[in-house]
Amino acid sequence: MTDQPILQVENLTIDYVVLDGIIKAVRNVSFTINEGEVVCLVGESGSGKTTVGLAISRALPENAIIREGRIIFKGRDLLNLEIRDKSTIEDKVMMIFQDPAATLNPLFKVGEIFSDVIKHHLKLSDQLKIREKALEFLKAVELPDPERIFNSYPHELSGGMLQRVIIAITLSVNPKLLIADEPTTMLDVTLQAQILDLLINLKKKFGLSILFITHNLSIAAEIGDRIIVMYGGEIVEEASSEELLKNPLHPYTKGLLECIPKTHIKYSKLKSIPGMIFDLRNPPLGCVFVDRCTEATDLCRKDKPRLIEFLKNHKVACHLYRGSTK
Amino acid sequence: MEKFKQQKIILSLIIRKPISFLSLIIVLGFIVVGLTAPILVPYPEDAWGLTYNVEKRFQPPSIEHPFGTDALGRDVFSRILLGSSFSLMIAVGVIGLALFIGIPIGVIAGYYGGRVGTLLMRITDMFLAFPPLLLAIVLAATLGRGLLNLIIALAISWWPWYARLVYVQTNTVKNMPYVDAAKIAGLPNIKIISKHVIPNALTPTIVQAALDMGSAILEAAGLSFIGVGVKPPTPEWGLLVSEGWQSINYAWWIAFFPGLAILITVVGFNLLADAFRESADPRLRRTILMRLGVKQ
Amino acid sequence: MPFSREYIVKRLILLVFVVLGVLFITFIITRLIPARPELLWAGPHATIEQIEKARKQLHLDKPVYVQFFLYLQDFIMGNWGISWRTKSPVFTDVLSTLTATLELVIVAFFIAFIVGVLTGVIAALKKYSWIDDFIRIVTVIGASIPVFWLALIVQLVFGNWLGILPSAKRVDEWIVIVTGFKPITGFYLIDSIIQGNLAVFVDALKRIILPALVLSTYPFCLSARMTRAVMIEVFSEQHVKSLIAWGLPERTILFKYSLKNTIVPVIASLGLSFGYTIVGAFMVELVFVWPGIGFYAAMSLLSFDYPAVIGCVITVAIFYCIINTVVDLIHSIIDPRVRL
Repeated sequence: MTDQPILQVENLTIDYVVLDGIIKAVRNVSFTINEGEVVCLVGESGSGKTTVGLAISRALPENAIIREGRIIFKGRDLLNLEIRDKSTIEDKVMMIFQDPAATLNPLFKVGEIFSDVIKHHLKLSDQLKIREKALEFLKAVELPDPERIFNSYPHELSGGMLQRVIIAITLSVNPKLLIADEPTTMLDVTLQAQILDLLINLKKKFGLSILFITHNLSIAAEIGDRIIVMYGGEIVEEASSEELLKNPLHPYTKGLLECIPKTHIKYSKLKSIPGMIFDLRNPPLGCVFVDRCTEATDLCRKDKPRLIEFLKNHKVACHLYRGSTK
Repeated sequence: MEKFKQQKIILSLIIRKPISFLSLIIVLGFIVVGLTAPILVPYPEDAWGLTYNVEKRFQPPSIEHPFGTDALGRDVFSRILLGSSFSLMIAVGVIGLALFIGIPIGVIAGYYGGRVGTLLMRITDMFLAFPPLLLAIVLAATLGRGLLNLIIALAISWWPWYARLVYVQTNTVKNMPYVDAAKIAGLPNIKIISKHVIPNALTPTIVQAALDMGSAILEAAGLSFIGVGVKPPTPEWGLLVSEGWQSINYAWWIAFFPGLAILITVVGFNLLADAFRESADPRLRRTILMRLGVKQ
Repeated sequence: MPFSREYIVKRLILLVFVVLGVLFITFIITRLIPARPELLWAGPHATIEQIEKARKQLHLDKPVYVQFFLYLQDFIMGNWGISWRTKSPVFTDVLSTLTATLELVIVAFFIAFIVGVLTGVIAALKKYSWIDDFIRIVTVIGASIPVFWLALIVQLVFGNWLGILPSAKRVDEWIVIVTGFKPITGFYLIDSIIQGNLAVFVDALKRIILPALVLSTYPFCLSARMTRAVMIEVFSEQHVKSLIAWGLPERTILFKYSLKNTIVPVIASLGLSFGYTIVGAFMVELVFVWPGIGFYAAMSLLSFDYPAVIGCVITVAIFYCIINTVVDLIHSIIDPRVRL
């Protein structure tokens, strides 16, 4: 892990056009990822975290509109890219998704898809070499019997195996940044741990940076070097995972931490944060968390707190911490 | 409340798009004309086929006879107008009868399942093994020509589709949590079926059936054309076309306008069905509104 | 082979049972529903002796289950009755007219499927543009138009007014005699190619094209609409989004991947499409006087020739079952998830 930024997101603002209005999904989001870092984007449904991931991958749906912002990846603004063909870019961003079974086309053998990705990105034309490379990566993700898997259809493989295959596919093109959108949410707990371990090992082996998107703060703490907490389309706190767990600042983060079941305490009650996320078509003028915050004041309702570095390498957007106005 | 809002949104979406609005007009217009034609038709004896008029044979379209006259000197326009009443009757009769047979079978098979369900569905599948209209043709040929026989024949070839649809829906609904809740609360099966299963399982089928009326009209016309539908002088549209077939070379209007009437009516139903399907699908709704230029 | 021998055998047995079901229902309709089936069978102009003969032919003096057994036996042995209109056995009538209809239906279906899928793909790609709107309007009209009426108009315009593209025969006899053409398979288009007979090929094509185009209207619209709807749905599925995110070229995503996902349900619905087409053939053949089983059936209907009608109906129904089985097999070949 170095201090060289590999990805800089600046003032990203994204809307979705829907049935009865415009959803302001992401508002003024800025952050950086350094080389070799694992940054976790944590938030509940509606926080905008997946949208951010899709934007960086340039895989936003049709009804998404990028209002503002830049995404600088290795010196290039991804949003301004004229080039339609991603494979011509040396520095690649790859993405893995939540549902491994839905991620692969059910009518094609896994090896077929794998070969196409390799062929297109690495510009190889020799079938044998392509296959070799694919098998090499299938081994790298610790899959037993890579030959058989290469020739299988997605429905013949389990969720865990499929996710490993997908990781193999995405890593085979030597990406500098891997975006993982809730890759373990649909797997059971033991598999979760295995996949997380795998990702860490591969990161070290291939010198990857990872943007890990999740709603689960525990997972984020486990795998992340740094955690960015999002709520309602905005960033509310950002710190190293150690610091965030030791010293959470934002009321939302504190609430999230309390929600984690305390299995070591007998008869502990399950806590939750009361209330629901606001209507994203009408985001509040002031703080995003104002409706559910136990410490909200009138200032919070009127004035939006800016994301400032309150402690060293610990940013927070909350009026409790000398959040300033314009 | 939720449901009304849903329907209002769907209706408003249909009205906003010009083509869907047009289809709504066509269908409503067809129903209105069908209901009032027996009273408002200009030449009633011609329409019902009670008279013939040798001097007025094969007259091209004119002011008094906008669609001309046919081989027996009858006003084609009046016959087509009255034909809409027959088409309406046929559509409602066929679909209604098909639902009447199909829904109970589907609900019973879906809700009770087991051997009864399997048996009922096997019977249904036996009927479905026939190509869609063929069963109707055989039945109509056996029963003989006539309006009632035509409706029965078509209904018997239609009901398996509804039975199957209802069966699948009932099966899904049966496994829904609220049905389990009702059972635990001790509701007798009949009540469960009528209060919970039927409204939820049947709505898509009923909607589909209403829009199927267009296809029923089309099929009835086809059967009448090949001679196993209604008896002359019933002014059913398909029969009218076949009556104009002989003289099509020199009196094209006799066959042309009835067919056009079928086309427009069925197009209306099909477009409405499309518009309905689009408006009811939330994903599609979003893109419709995008296209209509929701303020960005 | 994606499926095993057991699967094929199972499918064939199922087919037999389905055919039995069809015959059973037909039996009920033709023997048990009418009060006096022998009257229907003998025809409207029958004499008393002919009616008596019909009674014997239909085994109406025997108990019902025996009747059904004999009915099956008659069916298998080809005793399908005599058409009082053509005075020949229904079985031979059906066999002699079958290939004409098959050729017509196959050509129509071929056009409908290929052009239909292409149109649907174009509509899906240019979703919500004027091209898409135009295609949608055309396909709705095509799916709503009465086939017999379209046939009449087309024949009127092209046959009489413009005087081109004749039909009423499959091929002109003079050309046949002059060029020494011999039908082998009964499919004139194929036979003429086999024999290298260009004149017959062109003539046969000229004559088949109009009824085939009219017949193809409905299945074309069905294919186009379905392709469009399915393709739009496929585009929104995660596996396509993944390929986009992974940077594969649009062409590959479209033609190699999405197209296959789109075709699968369209092919699966081909059987039903065929069912509608086959009944449309009755009307198209009637209007164009195309010498196929549809024409034969329609003429039989018009003249109350009951045995002929039943013979045609059973034949067509059985073909429908066979086609459906074939479609199922094809479906399981291209979709690896379907393995029964």
